[in-house]
Amino acid sequence: MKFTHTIDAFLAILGGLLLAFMVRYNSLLAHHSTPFFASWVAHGVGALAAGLIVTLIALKKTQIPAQTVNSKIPLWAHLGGLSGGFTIVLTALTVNSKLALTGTITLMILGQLVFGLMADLFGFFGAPKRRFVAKDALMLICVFAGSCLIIFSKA
Amino acid sequence: MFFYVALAAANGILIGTSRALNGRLSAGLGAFKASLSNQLVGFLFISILLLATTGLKNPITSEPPLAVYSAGVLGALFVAVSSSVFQRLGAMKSALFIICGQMLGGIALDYINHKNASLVAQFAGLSLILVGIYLGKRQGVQKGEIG
Repeated sequence: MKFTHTIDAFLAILGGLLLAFMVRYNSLLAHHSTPFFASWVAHGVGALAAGLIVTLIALKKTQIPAQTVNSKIPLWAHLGGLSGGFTIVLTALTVNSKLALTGTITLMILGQLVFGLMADLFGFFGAPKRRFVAKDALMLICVFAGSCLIIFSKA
Repeated sequence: MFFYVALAAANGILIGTSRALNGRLSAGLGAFKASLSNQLVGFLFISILLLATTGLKNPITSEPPLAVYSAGVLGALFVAVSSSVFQRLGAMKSALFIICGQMLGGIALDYINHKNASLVAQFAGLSLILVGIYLGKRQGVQKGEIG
């Protein structure tokens, strides 16, 4: 692994930490108000922050990055914000339950993996279909066992 | 308890859907504009839901620490960090390191706030999850699939 990759690895871990704190703060706000209000605040502040980043990038360089000349974007691609809105609501509910932060994160990863395999199997979102293979099962067994360890080791 | 387990796992479906849609959007707009679009769509959607249900009533029952309002900023920073490392580390390593950081943060914060878990079991669980995801890796994993 090259040195730059070591820095990137730390950056990626830092990114994960950011997510953990984001979830913790959203859920704490939900605890002091309602899950929907917490999701609303997170999206409002998130939109401002994302808007600031987009503006800063636009000011810094005038050329259009190569990837933005991609083909026409289908309307459905804009609807990710709807499921994102509900994600914060559900996360707040489960983090504030006995599952706490670690149990919630673990189960969300497990849910994502299962959904990802289903999406591959049936070709959701226009992806090419892919068969379920032995190592998919191995992955699920490990992640499931790890999740059980984390969730049931709590008093 | 089972209800919350089901809820958290179902949340994985929502996240998977968001990611798939956001992946398509990012391919056209770039990560930052896609993130801005998502935040705005989510904000408008929740605004309508809130107006239709609770109206303009202030929902805050007790004053939370100010830091809770920074969650949206942390999310935007995450988009910046992850889209940058994805390009150099690739999807698999990025996802592994991000999941690692996320779970370490979760274990630390839970330990600070609840102190009711065996850390040995937590780290054993984390290791199993990382090994599982590593073993399940496949060729040509799409950019932005997990994280």
